[in-house]
Amino acid sequence: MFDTQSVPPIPWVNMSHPEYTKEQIAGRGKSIYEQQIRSHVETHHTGEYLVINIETGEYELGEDKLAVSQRAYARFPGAPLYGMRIGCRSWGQIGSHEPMPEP
Amino acid sequence: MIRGQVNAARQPIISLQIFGAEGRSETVEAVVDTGFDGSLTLPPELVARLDLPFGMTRPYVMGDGRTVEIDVHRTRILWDGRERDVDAVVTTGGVLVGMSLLRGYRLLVDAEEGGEVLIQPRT
Repeated sequence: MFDTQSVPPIPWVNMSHPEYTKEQIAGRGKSIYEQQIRSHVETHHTGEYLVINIETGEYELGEDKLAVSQRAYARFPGAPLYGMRIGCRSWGQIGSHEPMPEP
Repeated sequence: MIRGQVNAARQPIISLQIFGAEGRSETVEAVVDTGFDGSLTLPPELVARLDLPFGMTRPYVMGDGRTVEIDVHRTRILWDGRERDVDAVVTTGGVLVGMSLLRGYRLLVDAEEGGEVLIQPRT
């Protein structure tokens, strides 16, 4: 059904991309955003969802988070991807508390 | 229409079939959590058993206000009789169904132990 990565089934280890930890992906993703993408998108795309291929710096962008994710998977199969929301500190929230302010 | 039941901890629970690699699937009990704005959370052991492929890493704000980088893996679930591709946020907090999966549906909960849970299309 999927073109699966050969991730070893070790459930007590945090699952991740076969070549990068989530810390590496997040670090590289944020860095690429700050250095290469932010100045192009922050003015007109605040609040939109952004998925960055951290190996190439290419990205997908849009208001619909499900659509942006699916486009990124189709365009960058198997790539280490970092997802974020422009002008916000998170993609989403888990757990009930005061709602995140809209950008 | 999806039917479930409120458990002894007074959480609304529905049954969910999760598909993985090589024809594997598991049926799990999921808590319907309206405080979660995504689609689905899954525990790491289940992600490993089903060999769900990595999707991406994203930051999420947790209930205590911390922002945490979390991995998302790709899966397919049976939702209201149809297969649906879903991104599953990998956390240890059990299986949660969130507001993104409920989009287009009405959620009804009889908020007592044993109470009915109904998720019905809005149109």
